[in-house]
Amino acid sequence: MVLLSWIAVAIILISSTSILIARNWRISVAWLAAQYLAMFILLLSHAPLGMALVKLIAGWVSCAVIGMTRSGLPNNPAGQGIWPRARLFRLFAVGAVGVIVVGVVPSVNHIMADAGAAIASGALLLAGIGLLHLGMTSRILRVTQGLLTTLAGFEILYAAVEGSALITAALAAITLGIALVGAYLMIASRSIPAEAS
Amino acid sequence: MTITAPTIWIFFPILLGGSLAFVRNRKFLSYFSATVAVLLALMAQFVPIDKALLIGGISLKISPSFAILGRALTIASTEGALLTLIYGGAALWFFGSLAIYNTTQIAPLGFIVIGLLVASVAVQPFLYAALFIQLAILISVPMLVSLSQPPGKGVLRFLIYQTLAMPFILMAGWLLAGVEASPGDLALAVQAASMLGLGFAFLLAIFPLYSWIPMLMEDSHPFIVGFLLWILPTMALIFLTGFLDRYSWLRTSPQLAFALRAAGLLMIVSGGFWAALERHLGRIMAFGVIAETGFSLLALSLNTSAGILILFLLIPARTLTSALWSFGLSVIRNRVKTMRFSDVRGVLYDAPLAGAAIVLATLSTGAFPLLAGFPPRLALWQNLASVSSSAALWMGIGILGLLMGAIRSLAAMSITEEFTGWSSQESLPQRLILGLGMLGLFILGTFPRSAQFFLSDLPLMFERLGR
Amino acid sequence: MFVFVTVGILLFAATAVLLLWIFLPTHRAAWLIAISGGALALVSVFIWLANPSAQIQLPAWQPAALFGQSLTFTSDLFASTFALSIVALSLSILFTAVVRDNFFNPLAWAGNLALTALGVLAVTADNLLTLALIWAAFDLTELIIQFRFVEDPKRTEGAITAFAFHALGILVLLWADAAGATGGDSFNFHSTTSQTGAYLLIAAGLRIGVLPLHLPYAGDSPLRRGFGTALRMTSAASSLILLARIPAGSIAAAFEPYLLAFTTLAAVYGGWMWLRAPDELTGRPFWLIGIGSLAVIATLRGNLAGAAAWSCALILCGGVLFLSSEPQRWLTRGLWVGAFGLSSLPFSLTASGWANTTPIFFLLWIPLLLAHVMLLTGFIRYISHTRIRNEDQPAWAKNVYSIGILLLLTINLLLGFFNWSASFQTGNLTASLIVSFLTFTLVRFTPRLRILNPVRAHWVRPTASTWLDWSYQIMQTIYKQTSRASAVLTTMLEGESGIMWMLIFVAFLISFFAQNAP
Repeated sequence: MVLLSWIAVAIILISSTSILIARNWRISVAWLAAQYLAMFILLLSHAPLGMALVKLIAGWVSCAVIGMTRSGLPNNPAGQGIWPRARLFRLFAVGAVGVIVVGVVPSVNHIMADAGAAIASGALLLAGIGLLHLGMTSRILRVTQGLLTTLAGFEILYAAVEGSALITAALAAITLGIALVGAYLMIASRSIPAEAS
Repeated sequence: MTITAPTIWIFFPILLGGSLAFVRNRKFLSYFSATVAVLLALMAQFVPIDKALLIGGISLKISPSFAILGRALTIASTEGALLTLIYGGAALWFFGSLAIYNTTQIAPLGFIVIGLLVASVAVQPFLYAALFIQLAILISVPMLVSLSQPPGKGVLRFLIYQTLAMPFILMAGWLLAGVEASPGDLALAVQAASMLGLGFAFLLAIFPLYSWIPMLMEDSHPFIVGFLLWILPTMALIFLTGFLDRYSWLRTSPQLAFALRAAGLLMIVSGGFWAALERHLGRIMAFGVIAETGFSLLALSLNTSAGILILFLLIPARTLTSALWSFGLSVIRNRVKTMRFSDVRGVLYDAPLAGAAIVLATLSTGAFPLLAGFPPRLALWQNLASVSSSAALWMGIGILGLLMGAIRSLAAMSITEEFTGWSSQESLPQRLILGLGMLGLFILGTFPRSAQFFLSDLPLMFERLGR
Repeated sequence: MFVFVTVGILLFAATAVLLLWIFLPTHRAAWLIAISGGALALVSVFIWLANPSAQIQLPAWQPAALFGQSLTFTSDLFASTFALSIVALSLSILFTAVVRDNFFNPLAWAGNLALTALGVLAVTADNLLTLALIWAAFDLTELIIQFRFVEDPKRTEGAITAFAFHALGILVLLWADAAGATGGDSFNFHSTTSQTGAYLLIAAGLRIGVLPLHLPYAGDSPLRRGFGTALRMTSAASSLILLARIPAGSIAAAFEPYLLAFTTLAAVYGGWMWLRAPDELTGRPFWLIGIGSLAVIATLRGNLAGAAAWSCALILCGGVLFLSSEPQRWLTRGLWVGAFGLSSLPFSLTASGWANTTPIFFLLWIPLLLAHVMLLTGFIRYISHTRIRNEDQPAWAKNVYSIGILLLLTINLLLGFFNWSASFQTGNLTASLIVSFLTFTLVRFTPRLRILNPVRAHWVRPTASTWLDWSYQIMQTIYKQTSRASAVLTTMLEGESGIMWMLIFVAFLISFFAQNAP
């Protein structure tokens, strides 16, 4: 189980980094789905299967929602072609987050009732890279992915200490809600600005 | 017959909001929603919770609790006054939407948002409130952005910052439970307080995490933003007070009082500073709202029963001021290209009541005597001065900035090269609402006693702080 | 209770005139109603003169735990003297309105009565909360009236500037209240401490344009003789009453020299500009500054009766001068009563103006007396200048007009002899004789000395207030630079990288507070 957890951490590192530097939205959504799978694996060590499944399904449905919405929208040549710029910088920033995570994992692990180094690492990586993502872009799809990534990190950590069904349900609803709001905003962003009446 | 209080004040509004989403008739939506909100407010004020009533031979009892997924939603009788305030305030916006175009979504989604926020007050354990607040924030987004209008950056920033609050607060809640179990663990207490501070810094948009507020006021409909900038901080403040009430070590910590005071002053001073320099009417309101939250934080920092009284005295003033301000801005927005100073020159002569409402609302936020904001600010200033005269001086500087914002708004709307005479272009409902709103500002400002009817019971919500 | 009777009469008359104007716009009874209201109010003030120091306290604000003060009014001698002055002025304005070109102006009459009612409330306010509320009501009313009457949006700038300074005055007053609360007591006029006395003085100074020196109404106002006089004078009276409420010795010694210096400067500036103004209406803002400064000086010297005397002179002597427009020889001669009232000679209204109280640096007497001389010289020059006869007026109008002027002159004389602490005084005989002698000399030499002659109307502002403009420009430059800096900060926080900046800010603030927490 410990090995599996560290494999999940590796998937998290690869997937969240890929989301940050991917040019193609399909790839980034696919990596987001992979991220939820890694999250599911990490959750299994503390939460019951049912709860972990709820989070996995909520995450995947969210990926589906934003993926389907995005697929229905035309490609923005200006945005899609150029973004993201400065991949090296992004990789460097991910490296910086990684260093910080390595530094704080022991103390976070201690605070979180010895949840495990893998869980703490995975959660902090997700939260850190998610925040990095939010700080680097203002595109709706990317912001939605950033928020989902950050929340996924938090959920891993929180599930280690809190097993309430209400919390699980509410967090799943929030994950879905963020995806739906992202989808809504993506659709709205296509509209032609109406005249102020 | 027994009915639960959460059914009346949480589930019914949420369901009603969902149903009303399909109604397109603006007048019906406005009248109906406002009437329902007023009825809910009146029920909260006059119908006792957890006491049997005999109505025409039928025994009716409103029980306080509703069980859900192993937890409970509980509305105690002491929370009735808060419900009155919330639903009464919401009625102002719902009724106001009658006279403002493009605001049909405010009533349906507003009911859902209020339902969720009331759930945040009712949920046991109360730490879970953060989840309901987050759900309310997600519901708010479609209010702010219609499908026919591309979203601005402010909405995204709003979504990000408000969402980031939830993890910190939930985590802080868990840590606080640990502190309760081992009170001697100072490091844990510091970590918990820091988490809590960060969470509320995001939730209450404490300096410098408030950039989304002016952005939102610039991008979105001021009337809807005004509604959200009233309900969200108000409920977040109640939530924060709940924390202070619950944890005695937090309540008595001098560091927390210092942090609250510093945060409050930062918000008042920075809000006043930008209000004095801003050249956009909507953004001036944004900074006014920021300062308003600062006043509430300062009241909490007093850490006395007077502080709680001031906090609650600030709420009705904030409600009326925000409603009037956002309504006035919406009326003016319909007449001008943008709300930049360069575009609103002379608009006072076309929309005198809306212009006056904006100026009076700004003045009220800046503690101008006779207006609703004055009595609580005066009490706050006096109490603060007795604790720290330098803090009181900073508060005065912030107020000065807000007053400058009011005067600059007035100058921008009135000074023009061309003058064709006074001709009020506002519709009759607009005039009526603006007139009543301004009258309300004066009544609350001159007779603060008028709000005591329902304010006097509000502190009872908090077992320790309010008694 | 009599305070409310007076205010009630004035407000009732104002409402009646307003309603008549709305529903029967051409009905001529409006003026009679206004006059009757004003006259009854004047009589009622005389009644409460007989019952000084009666205090009326309204129920306290709720919750009582937060508000120690309640709205309180007093009808002591200072209050009643101020009230008498402003009610007399109001009535006089209504009487003299009959000779104006735009005589039939019910809205102006209603405004005049309403402002007077607020003025009476302001001068009877017995604590800071009451005064702040009345000042606010007064300022809002004044602003609305300015917007309603000044139909040139470019001119509204002056009204907004005045409102800004008045609001600042209120803020300083409230700060005095908060600073007073530091001592733990609910603050009122009677418990003024050395901490708060200076703030009160600054609050009053800000509202009358003395501290710091500013000219919100520098431009020529279209509200000229009648209603304009009511606005300016009643507004000044509502602020000046504060000077008579600051107890002697309640201004911190550290502040006193600076306040004295600034106020003396303002007095000399006001006097000089008043003397050089082309006519009394153009010079009106300088009259307010000049006499207002003398009142502030009196307060600084602990001479409260003197401050009240200067204030009443500002209203009564100024009022009679600004309302005089008809060339009636005997009335013009009667205006010398106003000059006497202003002279500080024994038994005049301002006899106690220079009364010996707290000693001041002896060299300071020179500019102070010079300012007084210039103000008095200007006054005499304006009462003797030629007035144009309006031949179309009926005889009754001339008579009614005369009643208005005589009323103010009579009150001016009466206050010099009867009723209050500043009456029947010999005052500082040396100072008053020096002032009278210098004034006499200056009046004689004015036609011969070019520098003492009035400048052309359109020159008054640009030439005379260069240094004021210069200070305004510096402030404007600072404001613009701050504005630019804030714009940069806003762009940074709201731009693409805003969230990153926020996170850095948060980290910085947390570390800052972690270090500075108690």
